Amino acid sequence: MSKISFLTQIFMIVIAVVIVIIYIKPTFEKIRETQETTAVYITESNKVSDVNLLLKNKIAIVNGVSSSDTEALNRYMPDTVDDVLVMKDILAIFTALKLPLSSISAGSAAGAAALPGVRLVPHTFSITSQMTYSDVKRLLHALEVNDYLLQIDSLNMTPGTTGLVGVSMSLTAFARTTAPVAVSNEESNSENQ
Amino acid sequence: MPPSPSGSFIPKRSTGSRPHGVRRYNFFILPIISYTLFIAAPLASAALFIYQIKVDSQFKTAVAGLEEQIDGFKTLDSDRVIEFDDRLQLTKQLVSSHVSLISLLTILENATAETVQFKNLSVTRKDDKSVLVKGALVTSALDGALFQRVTYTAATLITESKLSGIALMTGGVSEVKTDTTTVPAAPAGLAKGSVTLNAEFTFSADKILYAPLGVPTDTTTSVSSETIIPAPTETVVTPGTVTSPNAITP
Repeated sequence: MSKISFLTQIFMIVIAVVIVIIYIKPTFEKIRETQETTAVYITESNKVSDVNLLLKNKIAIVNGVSSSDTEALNRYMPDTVDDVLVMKDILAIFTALKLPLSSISAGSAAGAAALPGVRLVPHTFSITSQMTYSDVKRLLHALEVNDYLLQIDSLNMTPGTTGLVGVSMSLTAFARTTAPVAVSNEESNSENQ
Repeated sequence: MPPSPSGSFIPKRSTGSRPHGVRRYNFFILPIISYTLFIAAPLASAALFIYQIKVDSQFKTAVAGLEEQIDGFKTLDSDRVIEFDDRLQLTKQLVSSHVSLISLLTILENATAETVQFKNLSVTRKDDKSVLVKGALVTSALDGALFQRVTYTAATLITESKLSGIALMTGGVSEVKTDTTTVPAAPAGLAKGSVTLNAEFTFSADKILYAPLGVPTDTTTSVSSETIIPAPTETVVTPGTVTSPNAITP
């Protein structure tokens, strides 16, 4: 011990301090940052894994739906509504019920515009006819059980000229709009919460 | 001359003060610290270097795991599920607001007295939650109008009913009016003493919802069955004749 001079001892301490300052301390900080980043990656990886698992379960549910049910759903909520085909369907209903159809018309294009905030595109149709009251109920029933929704927005029954009931009704068929809908701030906030 | 005291066997007391030994204090703390630091610093550096390699390896593993999970996410499947869910939710929204006008007419028939006829009827959806029904009624006497007012008020499935424009007809001419609201022109052929009135009903949509599985709508009313005729399911209206008092008459 005594052979090492005081200056040498001081020099050794200085060397050690320099090593701590130059290498150990920065390396410690770097390791800490790396560990924090690793923790974030692991957390995100777990989240993605959960999403994948959830997606897998959802896909299993979707695949579990029978093809007939899927077709029925697609018919009930189509991506597009062809006005002519709907009019043809309405005419087919009248024909099946053996009811006279005086007139049928599709609504204007403006009426078919997507409502703000609503992801449904309405297509309106107007129908006029003359029939008995019981036939009106038969017609209403046939429209209710249709493969896709034909919502009756208005129904007017007035005395007809030949003793029948003059019927005029406004129907609406709906299509699903595929355009993305902007989510309001309130909705996004509530989802975040 | 006395002998020299140094020749005596008796130990002699030293003459001078006892000599003080010089204590040497060796200062070891600084060498210990210097040696410790000098050895510990490189050792810690080496350990830290190895630990850093391990941490970097863990980081690379975490990155690879995240990439693997991201690669495992199938956008097509996601789109498919989102589309299906969207379609299902919109359908649910439509079905939950799909009202049955047959149920509405049945409720109206059950709540309408035998002596009352509808001359016309209009049904309009006000919104997703209510349906507005307007009609012109004819009854044979004022008593019938009074009774009808009671029965419509008592009908629990009708959210709101309002009768107005009550007029007593004599030979097709309005004789007495209860208010100044517009009264439809009295059709020719009405019996003397007939009473016309306008009715306005509001139905709550949740009471006349369409039941896809055929669940019957609760059409019970608080009106006694003796005074209210059952729903005419197969009523036929022919020109000039009224076979059912509840039917729409031309």
